[in-house]
Amino acid sequence: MRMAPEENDKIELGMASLIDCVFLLLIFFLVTTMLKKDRKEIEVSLPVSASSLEMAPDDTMLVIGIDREGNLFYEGKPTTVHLLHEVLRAVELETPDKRIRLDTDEETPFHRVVEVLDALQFRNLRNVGVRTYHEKYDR
Amino acid sequence: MKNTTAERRLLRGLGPMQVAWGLALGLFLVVAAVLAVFPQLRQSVIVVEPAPKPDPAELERRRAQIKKPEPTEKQVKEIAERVERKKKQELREKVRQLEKNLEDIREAEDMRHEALGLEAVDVFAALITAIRKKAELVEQSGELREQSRTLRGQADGLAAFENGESPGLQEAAVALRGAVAAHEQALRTRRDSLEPHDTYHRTRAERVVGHAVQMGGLVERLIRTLPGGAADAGPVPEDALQAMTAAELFDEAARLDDAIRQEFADARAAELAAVQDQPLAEALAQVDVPEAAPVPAGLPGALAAGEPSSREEFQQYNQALEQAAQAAGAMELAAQGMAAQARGFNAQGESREAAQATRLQQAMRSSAAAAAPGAVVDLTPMMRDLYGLQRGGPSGESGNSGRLDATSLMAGGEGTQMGQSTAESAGRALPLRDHQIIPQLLPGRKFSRSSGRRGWLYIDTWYVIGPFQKPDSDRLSFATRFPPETRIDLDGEYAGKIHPQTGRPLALRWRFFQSNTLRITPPDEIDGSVYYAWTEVYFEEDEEVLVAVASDDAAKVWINDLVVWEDTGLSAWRVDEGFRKVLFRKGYNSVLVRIENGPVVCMYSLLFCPVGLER
Repeated sequence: MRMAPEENDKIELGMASLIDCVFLLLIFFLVTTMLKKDRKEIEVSLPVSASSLEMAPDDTMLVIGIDREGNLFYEGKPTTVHLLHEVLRAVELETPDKRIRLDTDEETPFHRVVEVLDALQFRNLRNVGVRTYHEKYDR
Repeated sequence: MKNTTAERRLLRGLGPMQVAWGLALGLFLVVAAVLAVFPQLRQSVIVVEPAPKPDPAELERRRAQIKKPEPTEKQVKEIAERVERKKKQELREKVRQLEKNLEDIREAEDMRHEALGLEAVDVFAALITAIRKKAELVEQSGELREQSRTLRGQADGLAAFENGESPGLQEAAVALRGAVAAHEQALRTRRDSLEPHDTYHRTRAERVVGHAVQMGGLVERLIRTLPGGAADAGPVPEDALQAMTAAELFDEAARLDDAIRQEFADARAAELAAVQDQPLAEALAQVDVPEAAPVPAGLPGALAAGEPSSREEFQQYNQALEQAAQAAGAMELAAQGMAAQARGFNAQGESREAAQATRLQQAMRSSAAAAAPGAVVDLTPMMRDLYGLQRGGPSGESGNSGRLDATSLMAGGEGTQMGQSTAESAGRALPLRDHQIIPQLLPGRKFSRSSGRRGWLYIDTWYVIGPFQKPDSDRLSFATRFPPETRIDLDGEYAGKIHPQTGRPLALRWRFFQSNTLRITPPDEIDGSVYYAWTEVYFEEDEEVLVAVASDDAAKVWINDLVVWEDTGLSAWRVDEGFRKVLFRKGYNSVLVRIENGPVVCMYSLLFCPVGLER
C-alpha cells in the first residue's frame, strides 16, 4: 500500500535528547552548588590575622557585630546595649553552649570590644570566636 | 507541525549534524564580516594593545562628556517615588512594631494593676491626685503660677465627678487636656526666652517643663481610663496605614513613642506602688517619663515638603526620609527595651506580697540610720522575709555552722532582730583596713562557694552615668531624684549638668567602666554633681554577704531595688566606712549606687564577702 508522501516526509529535530541535556545540566548545578549561607554580616573591615582558622559557614551561630563607630549589631541588625544584655540573658537560659561570633572593625574602639566580651563572660557564654581576615581564606 | 515546501527540500537531504555545522559556519562568517567592517571592534576583541596614557586635558574633556545631564523633573519624581516607597515601607514596619510594644507595655501595666487589686475607678482617682500634685509642683516653683493654680482647680473639679461615672466628665477631661497643653507651651516659651548663661533659671525651667509634660501624659492616661471615654483607637487599619504619607507615618511613630514612654512610666509607677507599698498617686508623682530620642531639627517640615522636582530638592527629601527612618528605628529600639523591662516588672514582682517590701524598707532605713559609723547592720532577716525565704539559712536550711563563726564576728549575728546593728565591728571585727587584706583584694562579680577565691572581692565592672545637676538647696539629701532611680535604661540619654561655657546641659549616656583598683572614680568628675553606677552580680545560691561601702562624699546603695545604704554626709573615703550584711538571691542581682560629689574628690568602693568565706 502506498503512503501519502506528506506523512513520510515529516522531519523534525529530536527534542528528547535536548531535554535530557538540560536536566543533566540542572542536576549538575544543583549537586555542585552550595546553598548560600546567611552570614549576617555588617560593613566592617575585619582585623587581619595570619593564624586564624577557616570555619565552615554556620547559620545557627549567633553573630554580634561592632562597627568602627562602636555601634552594636545583633544578627546583622542594629541593636543597643540594653537589648543585647536582654538577648544574652535569654541565650544563657536557653542555649548556653551556643557558638557566638564577634565581628569587629579594625578601628572599633577597644573598650567596646571589652564591654561585649565582659557581658558574654558574665553571662557564662564562653563559646565565642572573633572573626578576622585571612588572605588565604577570605580572597 | 507542518513543514513548508522549502524546508522540506532543505532538510530532506541533510542530517541534523549537517544542519548544526551549517549554522555554525554561518555564524562564523557573520562575525568575520562584522570584524572586517569595524576595525576598532576587531582591535578591542582580538588584538590586545596597551592603552595609550590619556592626556589629562583629554581625560577631563571625556569626563565632561560622560557627565550625567541634569535629570528632568519627571525623572526626579520617578526616583523620589521609588525611594519614598521603600522608606515608607520601613516606616510602616516601625509603626507596627511600636504598636506591638505599646500593647505589650499596656498588658504588663494591666497585670500590675490587677496584682495591686486596682479597679479602673482607683486608677482614675490616683491619676487625679497625681495631676493635682504635678500642678502644685509647677505652681510652687513660681512658673506661671496663676495658670498652674487654675489647672489644679480643674483637676479638683474632675475629682468631683463621682469616680468617673457622671456624664460630662469626658468633656471636662478633654478641656483639661487642652489647658495642660497650652500651659506646657507657655512654659516652653518662657524657658526658651531665658538667656543661655542663666543656668540657674534654665535648670529650674527645664524641670518645670518636665513636670508639665508628665502632667500631659497623665491627662492622656486619664482620658483613656474613663468609662466609654475616648480610648486609644488601637492599631491603625492596614488600608489607612498604606494611604499615609511619609510625614504622617513619622508623626504616627512619634505619637506612639510618646504613648509608649508614658505607659512605661505608668507601669513603673504601678511597680513602685507594689514594691514600696505606697498609693499609686504618689508613685505616679515620683516616676519620670523617659526622655524621647532627639529628632533632627526641621525633619517634620522637610518630610511634609514632599514631591521634589529638582535634584537638590530630591537630595534634601531623601535625607529627610533617611533621618525619619533612623529616628523611627531609634524609637523602636527604645520601645523594645521598655517593653522588655515592663515584662520584667511582672516577672519580678508577681504578687501583692511584694508590698511588704516597704515596711521592711522602712525598718531597714531606720535601723541603718540608728547604727554608728562603721557598724555592721544585719539586713538578712528582713530581706529573707521579702524574698519569701524561710528563716534559718539562705536556702531555707536550719543553721550553717560555717556561717556561725562569721556572724559571730558581728554583734547580733544570725537570728538577730531586723536590722540589728553594732558599732564595735569597725577595724576590729572586720579588719578591712589591715594592710595585708587590701593588696589581696580581687575583682569579681560572680560568686560561688566552690570557687577557690576566698575573702573580700571588689566590684570592678560598672555602667556609670553623670554628672547630673543637683540643686544647691538640696545639698544634704537625696530628695532630687534622677532618671536612673526610676529605670535603668542603658540606652537612655539624659540632660546632665549645665556646661559652664555653653550654658547648655551635657548629654549623658551610660558608659561601661572597669576599674583596676577598689576605689572607683566616676569619669568626668565635677564638683557638686550626682553620678549613678549600676551593675549586676551573680550568685550560684541564695547567699548572705557582707558588704563594705565607702564613699567620698555622699552615697546611696540599692540592692535589688532596696535601699541598703544611705550616707548624706561629706565624709572622706574610708574602706570600712560601713558594713551591711545582706541577702542576695540565686542568680543575677542588681546593684545601683548613687554617688555625690561635694568639693574636689569623688570616689566610692563596694566590697563583697560571702559570710563564712573571710580570710
